[in-house]
Amino acid sequence: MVLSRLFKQEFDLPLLLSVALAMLFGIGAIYSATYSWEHGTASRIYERQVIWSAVAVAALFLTLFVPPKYYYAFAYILYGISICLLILVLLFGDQRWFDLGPFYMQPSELAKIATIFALARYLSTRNLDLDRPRSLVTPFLLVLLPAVLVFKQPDLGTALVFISVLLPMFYWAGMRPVVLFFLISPFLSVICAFHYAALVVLVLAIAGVVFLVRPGRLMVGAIVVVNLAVAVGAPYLWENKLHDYQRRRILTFLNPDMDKLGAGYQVMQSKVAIGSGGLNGKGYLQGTQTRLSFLPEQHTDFVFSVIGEEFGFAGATIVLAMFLLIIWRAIHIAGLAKSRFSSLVAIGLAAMLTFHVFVNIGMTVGVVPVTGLPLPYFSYGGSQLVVNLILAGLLLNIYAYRHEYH
Amino acid sequence: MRDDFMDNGFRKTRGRWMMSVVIVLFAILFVGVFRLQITDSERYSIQSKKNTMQVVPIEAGRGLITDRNGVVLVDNRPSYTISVLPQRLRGNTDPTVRGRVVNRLSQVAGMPVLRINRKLEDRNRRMHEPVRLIRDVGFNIVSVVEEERHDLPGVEIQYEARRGYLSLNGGPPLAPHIVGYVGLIDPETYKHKREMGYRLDDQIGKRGIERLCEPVLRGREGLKFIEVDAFGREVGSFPEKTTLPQRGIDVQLTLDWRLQQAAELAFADSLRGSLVAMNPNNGAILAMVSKPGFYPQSIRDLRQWRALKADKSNPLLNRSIKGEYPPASVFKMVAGIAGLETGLIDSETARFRSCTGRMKFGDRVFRCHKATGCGRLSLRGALIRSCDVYFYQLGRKVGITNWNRYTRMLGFGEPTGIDIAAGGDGEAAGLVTDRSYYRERYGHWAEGYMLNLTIGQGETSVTPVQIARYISALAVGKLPRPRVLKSTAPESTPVQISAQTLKTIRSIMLDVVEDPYGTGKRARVEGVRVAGKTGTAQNPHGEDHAWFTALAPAHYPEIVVAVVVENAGHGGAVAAPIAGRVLETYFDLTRPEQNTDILVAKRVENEQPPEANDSEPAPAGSTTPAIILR
Repeated sequence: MVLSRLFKQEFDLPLLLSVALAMLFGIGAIYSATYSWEHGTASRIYERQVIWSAVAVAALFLTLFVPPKYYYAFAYILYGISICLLILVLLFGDQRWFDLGPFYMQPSELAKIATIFALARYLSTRNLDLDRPRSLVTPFLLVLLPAVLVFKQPDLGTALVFISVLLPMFYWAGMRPVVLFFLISPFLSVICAFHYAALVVLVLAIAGVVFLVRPGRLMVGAIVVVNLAVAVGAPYLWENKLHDYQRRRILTFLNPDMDKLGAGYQVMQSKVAIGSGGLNGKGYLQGTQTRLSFLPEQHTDFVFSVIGEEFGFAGATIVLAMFLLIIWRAIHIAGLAKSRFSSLVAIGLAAMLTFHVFVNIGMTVGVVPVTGLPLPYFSYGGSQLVVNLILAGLLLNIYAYRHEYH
Repeated sequence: MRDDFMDNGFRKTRGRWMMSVVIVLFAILFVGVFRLQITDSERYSIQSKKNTMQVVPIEAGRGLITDRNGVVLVDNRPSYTISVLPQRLRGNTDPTVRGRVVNRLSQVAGMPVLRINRKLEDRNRRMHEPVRLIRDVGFNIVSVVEEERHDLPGVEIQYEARRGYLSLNGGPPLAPHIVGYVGLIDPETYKHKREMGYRLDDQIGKRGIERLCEPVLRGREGLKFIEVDAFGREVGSFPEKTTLPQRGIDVQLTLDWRLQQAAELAFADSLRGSLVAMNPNNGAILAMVSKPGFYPQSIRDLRQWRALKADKSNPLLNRSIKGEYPPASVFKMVAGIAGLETGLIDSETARFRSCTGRMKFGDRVFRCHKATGCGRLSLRGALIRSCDVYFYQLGRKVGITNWNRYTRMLGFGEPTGIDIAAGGDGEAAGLVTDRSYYRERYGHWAEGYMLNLTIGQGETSVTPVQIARYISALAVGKLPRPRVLKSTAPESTPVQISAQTLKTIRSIMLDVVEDPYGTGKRARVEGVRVAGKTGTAQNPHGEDHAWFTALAPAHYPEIVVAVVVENAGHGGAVAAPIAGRVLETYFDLTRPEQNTDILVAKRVENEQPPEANDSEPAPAGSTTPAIILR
């Protein structure tokens, strides 16, 4: 059935090709990053990644054979299973991984997809009024539960992934922009609270939105109270309640240059690698920063700097374009799908992918603080690869079934 | 859920908004990449090369220090240094490695963990520069470290040259005050010298010739360019970029090591003092001793260094140029010259009252060193016996003004300008007084002061090298500028004293040694006519200082010697034999195969007028005067 659809041009070929290209590019980058110059041979890491790629491709095709309605049916069960796994890995695993003999399994990767399923299923309920605060409780809980569990591992980056899918899915499910804005406003308040001019601008912006949209009194009151509390409370906590080391930790997080030997060192070396790549790069396997191990985590979180160094601006642009294409296809597919559930899943996947790419590449070029998120299709890691190809499989699946309402 | 969810227009709008957000995010990334790879690419390229290219210095051999004949006094000897690459310790994946390595090194080398850590964390260090942790380690330590190499990542054994010194059968090295020593550059100096290519761990000349000739001796280090990985491991090299080191240039001294050795041996171990042997014709220092000496090698050891610094006998002081002593009777020739030059006296007539061992002056009694008295004496007799009473009377006649004039003329009260003084020791000027000095200090001038000054006591102080220069002036009529470096140009200032007077003084000094009553008998050298003068300086703090000064051969002086021995007693008894030993060695060296009896006979016949000394002098050790005489 799948093959027949393929031949009937039911496959989103641009998506499939971009993903395949990204994966091959990624394997090449890992080959380079872990190439053993002493022996002139490929590394074990590379070999494992190749094996994982095969497994991941198999997972993609497996995903294709299952119609979306089954995902809908199993959404909550899958979510429950992944929450159980997250708890188990905290209790019995190695914090993040289950040691399964020949390989490790990272349950947080599975939880990402499961959470998107659960969220999509809940948000696709008919007659859900997103203007009512009560209907927001369940989605928040659905996201916060895995986020907190993952944060405990501790893996801040992945925890943020769960939260990152929430707002785009709310938006896609029909939440009014003004409500969305009010949801975001307390976070903006915290940031602006430390800068006088920014705070003034924010207050004016909130006032303007309130004036234009004229939400209910209760809502206006809630917005004012929450924002005021946050804007006043945050600087107070900062000055009086936090210890020096806590403040320093937060500042380092916001500005890694402060800590040149820790996280700052990684960013510095990554910037040097990418920057020294220039327009055309140093050539495949020729990256000196890569080859001489100046880059930490060069085959996992910092794999983009290997590409930047060896393939230069041209290579980096191609990778960015590839991701942009995949995300564009995902949003496009979300728009095509007749099923609410499928459509929301596609948006959730697009949001997740965007968040990963932005945070990871942003970190390697120094515009986003360092958080340990892998670059989809590129970074070394079986769980990542399998989950991201399942993601691609789901998108292809939704595309193929786009005309079906369920 | 709103009904418009399934509306195509709704989805299209929201999809477009979402895509806009995505595009904005990607634009941020794109700008980030663009900035790194296009705008600032050059900066990062340089940074990347700096990261991986490491410049490793290749040590340049330090120049040698040789004596006048090219015999090596200071050379370079191999030594081993244990050094650590901090990057490799820090970059190691196992965080416990650092602690383990530091602990083990501390155990093996007996260096406190704290000090190792402090050295490893020095902020002034340049990236990738190995930290030279323990220098000049014994072979037993080297072999232990070599054996455990695999357990000690980042630890390396470096070969490094260090200074070796010529010494007497493993005893103390020769002329430590002159050759000086090298040591680790101190942080203050490093700041100034950094641009000149010095490194934090570098050796630099700290004293003596090592310091004076540092720019010459140092040479230029070579540079090797290697490629390193993040842990500082060498992974490649660029041989075409290597520059070879240039060895430092050797420095030749005017010293003769054999004479230096004889001079140092002539001082018994317990004696403190100084000896200067110089060619009066050109100021070349042939031997220069300052006792007690020290081992230049011990400067590296902090404990020994502190002990040296704290030593009351001040072994680091170069007494020859920094030691200030009362000159005592060796100064009597000054008054004699003043008397002869002003026509007050002649050398052979006894003009003054007889010496009874004491002389009353005003309400004070001035004593002669010989309590029983010396009798009625001429200048010759008075100098031979070193009679004080004669010189009290002569001093009164000469007067402070004349005495001061001749003292200054003979080079006292000012630095001699010896080249080695610039090696960090500096030079003492000594003290020569005049009337105004006493007026300022005591409110009045009294003639009684003059009596003491004449016999070299009172407020006069001189350095041994000043005495050697003064005797040179007596020997050749010119004040030479003393020098230790062969490359320093000889320089002399004629003195305004008639040749006749100088000749007379020399003949008297010859008698001081050769006359049966002479005080300098113990400086006699077989076959050579030595002229000299003893001195015994009263010292309020203890035993007398013993002086002896000599020139030889008396009629054709080619060497002058000044010896002072602190708190040792009578000059004739203690200092004269030391001078005699040095002179004997000198003439043994310069006239090895001669039949000395014939030589002396010839020289007596050939007695030359002092003017002859103006002709180009022959430096010792090359062409010998004996050959010229024949």
